[in-house]
Amino acid sequence: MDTPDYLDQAVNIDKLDEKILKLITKNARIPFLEVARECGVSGAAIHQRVQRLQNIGVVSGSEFIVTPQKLGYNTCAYMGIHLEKAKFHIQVVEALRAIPEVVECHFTTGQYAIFIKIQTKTNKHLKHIIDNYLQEIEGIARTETFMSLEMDFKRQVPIK
Amino acid sequence: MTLRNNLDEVDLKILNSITQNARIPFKDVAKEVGVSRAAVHQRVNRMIDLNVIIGSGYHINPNKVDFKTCSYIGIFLDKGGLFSEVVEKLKLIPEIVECHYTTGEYAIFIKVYAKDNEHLKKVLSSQIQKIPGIASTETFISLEESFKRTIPVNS
Repeated sequence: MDTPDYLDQAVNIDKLDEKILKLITKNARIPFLEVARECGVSGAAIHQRVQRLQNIGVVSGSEFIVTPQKLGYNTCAYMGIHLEKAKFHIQVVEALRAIPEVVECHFTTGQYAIFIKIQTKTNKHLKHIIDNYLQEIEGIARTETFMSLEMDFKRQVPIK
Repeated sequence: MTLRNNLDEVDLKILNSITQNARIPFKDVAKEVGVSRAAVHQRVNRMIDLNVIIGSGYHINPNKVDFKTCSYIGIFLDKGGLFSEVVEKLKLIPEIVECHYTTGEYAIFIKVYAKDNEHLKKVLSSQIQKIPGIASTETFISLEESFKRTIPVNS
């Protein structure tokens, strides 16, 4: 029976999957043979497991992690968005998606309808994005910005 | 901005491709960018030395490993000076995946993944709010992560 996607169940992953995840979430380019040695199974088994984890959506991709400041992205801010009407939600999210500096977007409870994370090169750049892109989006009533002066840490969810 | 000048167009092109897929063979990156494989290796190593690249990892879909409640929490402190002590304590709570020192209403802003609302309540009331120095908290539950991605490298 198909389950609707809002009832997304946690999938079956065993101890070996967890061990593999722990290793590959720390270093995406770790040779699978090394993972295999550490887990005490064959390299082929690791390949199969990772493929399966990808197929069932536990793993959604991989990336090299960059230091935003080193690329000139010195301003990080969180922004709460108030909508004129709640029903504008979908079209506003689509418009936000078109702005590459918006790196994260959530539909939240509480004060704001939408909550985003935005990374820009300078404060002026942030102002430019707010003035010329965000405020132009139809349906956005107003925004509230929290600048992050320092990111103290950032990490993945704990795997048991 | 000065540090950025250490990177040239080729570096940015390489970054653009490896930040999308960390396991892409460097051979393919080389072809895409139009340099040799050895050059890609060299440049990636250099960017690691320069701390432009600080690591790599697979993305886990938190939903699938049973972390279904994502929330942002704004934290008010008793005194601004307590900041670093509180951050040290927050770091010990594995459910907190991100922590920022922010301007505006809140002193600290964190992102928390919990298994469900009950788990979130437990993390909040028996861990976060027990930290000395935290006056109060304000929680925004994310009902949906509409998207999440990395910064635009090529611009």
